[in-house]
Amino acid sequence: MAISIVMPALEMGQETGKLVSWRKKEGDKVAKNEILFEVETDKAVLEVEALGEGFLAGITAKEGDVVAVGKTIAWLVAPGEVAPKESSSSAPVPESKSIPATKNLTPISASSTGTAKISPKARRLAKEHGIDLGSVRGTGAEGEILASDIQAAIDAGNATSSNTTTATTSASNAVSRIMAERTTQAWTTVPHFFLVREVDASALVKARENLRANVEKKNGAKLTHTDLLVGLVARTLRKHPRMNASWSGDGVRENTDINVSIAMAVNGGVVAAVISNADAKDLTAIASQRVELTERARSGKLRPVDISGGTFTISNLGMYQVDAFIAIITPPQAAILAVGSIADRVVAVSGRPEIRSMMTLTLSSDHRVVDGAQAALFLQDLAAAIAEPEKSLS
Amino acid sequence: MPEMIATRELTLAQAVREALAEEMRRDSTVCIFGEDVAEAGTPFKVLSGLVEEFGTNRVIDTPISEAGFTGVAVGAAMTGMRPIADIMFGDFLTLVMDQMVNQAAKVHYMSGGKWKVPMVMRTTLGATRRSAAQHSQSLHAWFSHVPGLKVVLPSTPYDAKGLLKTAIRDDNPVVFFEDKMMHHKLKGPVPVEEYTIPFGVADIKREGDDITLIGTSSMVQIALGAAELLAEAGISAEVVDPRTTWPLDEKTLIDSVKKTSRAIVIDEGYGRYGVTSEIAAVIAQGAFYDLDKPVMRMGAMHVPIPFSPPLEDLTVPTEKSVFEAAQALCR
Repeated sequence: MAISIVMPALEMGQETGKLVSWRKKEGDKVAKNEILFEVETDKAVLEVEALGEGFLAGITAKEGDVVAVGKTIAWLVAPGEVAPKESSSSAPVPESKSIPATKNLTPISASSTGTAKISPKARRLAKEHGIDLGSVRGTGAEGEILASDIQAAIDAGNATSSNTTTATTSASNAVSRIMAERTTQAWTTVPHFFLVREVDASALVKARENLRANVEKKNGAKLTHTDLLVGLVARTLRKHPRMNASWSGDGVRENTDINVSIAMAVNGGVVAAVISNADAKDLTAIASQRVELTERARSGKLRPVDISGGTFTISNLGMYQVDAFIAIITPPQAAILAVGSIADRVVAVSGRPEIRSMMTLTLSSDHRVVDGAQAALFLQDLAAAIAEPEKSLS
Repeated sequence: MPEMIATRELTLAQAVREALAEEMRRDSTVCIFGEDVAEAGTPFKVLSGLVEEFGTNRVIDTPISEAGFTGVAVGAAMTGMRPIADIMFGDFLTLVMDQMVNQAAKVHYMSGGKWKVPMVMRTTLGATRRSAAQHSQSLHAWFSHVPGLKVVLPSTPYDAKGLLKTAIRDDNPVVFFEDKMMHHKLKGPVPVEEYTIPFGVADIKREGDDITLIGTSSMVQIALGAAELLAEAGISAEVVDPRTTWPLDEKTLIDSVKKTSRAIVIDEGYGRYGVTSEIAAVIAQGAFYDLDKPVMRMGAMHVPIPFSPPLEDLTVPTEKSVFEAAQALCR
């Protein structure tokens, strides 16, 4: 029996994936878990493995095609078997300069050739502005595409085209387009609030000095302040399930696992690689996983598992000598911690000036999920953990 | 009637009476035929006082004979008078159809322009008076359908006076419909000085951006009430009154819908094959590429108007039903 190979949904909210390359050819024998193709999605190129075995047949998506999630793009067949024909067309979604409207209403699958209802005004506006109707999501009461949806696409398109005029390759265009879209959505739809706290990081600096040799000896990874913070944040999150929760549209969902995403700068953007179950991992495990993720991110080899499932993000710009900054939440996460540089400052300690290694933490929280006091208590416990890192991590 | 001039807030009935009196003073060929038009001043008391001023030679009570006195009016008009035939209830128009449709509407054309019929037929429309199925219909669509007739539907005292004066001075047969519920309930400002309102010029009764409510006659006030409710719900409704269904000011209707992209046409006649159908078609053609939702129509339910008050109230559009329909259309 033929197994269909579909464009996978690798992230929450993903609508399309761009087929970067086939690793197997039509007719190739494929074993289970062999890498079949590469997909470019939100911020990363990912390898997709075969879920079964057979011969690759009936490929309908070419390299470079942008395909809707869930579309069959090929089949794995038994020897002599013919790939089934899908009744509905599996033609690739044409890449378009428009952006799907992000209104939170009933989505319908609209395509330029499909049966989505489109108002005459919307159709005229789309034609005048060169908007591909297949990429517009209708927000009418019955999912019909209205003039306002086209206007949103026009506005989004204008915003994007001005952002990407200097981009050099289509791949980086696509990534920046998605990033622009996601960032705009996060910033405009999540009600952020911000708490800023200066913490004494002297103990953190000392702990890193104390522990780095041991970690490096175990598996060669260089321990960073970020590693320590991942461990400390994850353990603090155990006591603050709300900070580890998500807004699901109709309520708050507390996540059972504590998976800490680390924002990483990569060529052409930023990715958030995930240390899953970070509250249960020791520093050695965290550091080695972080090193591996960093390497994968730099070489564009992140797998779906590497970037999915994060429940809380840490973004550290301390290495760039940024004192403090405000970060944008990555939905559906409820919070992101922005970490500034650790610098020696003169501070008052018991009424006397002393030099301490200080660090400013800025916590962005989704006010639908957490209240100011909840976030403040989390920050307080985190500051306490940073004051005694070795005890907290033991 | 000095009290009217003093206040200048007139009821629709007062405005109509004032237009008739002024035109009768101005032009001695203007006269009135109808049942109970003289001493009784019609059952709606619209004509009270006219017979006292102009006498029974010009305000003429007729027998119960709509077809007969309409024929008299057509003939009088052809011979140089400017008669006003008063058809008490619009439902009785069934009796005058041959005189109006086959005679009045055709004479100018069939005589090669030698004859003209400068008459006005004043009559009523509208339900909710508890007058039952034979006294509650709104049959203005029938006349709007026939070439050669002009049809006027005033919705305010101001419009009623200005349009009636234009109707009397027009050289063609004009059918003038008054909402019988408005006669004494609706008051509005009317200038002291002379004015007329041309036919075929729609009036924007309220400006808005999100949806156009096109109302006629009784439904203009309903649309304005709905617009008020819509404003509270954050929806800006434009209310447009065509004022005459023929000639019809298509441009103003189309331009309004081009601006708002949504429209509801509200008329107290029956929806099927009715005034709302015609106006909706005009909009669909003229504003097609600016429509964001289908044009909606609201009119009397397709039933004989019931005598039972709760049932009667269900048959015609209300502020609430228009509000709800408009809100759904703007969702």
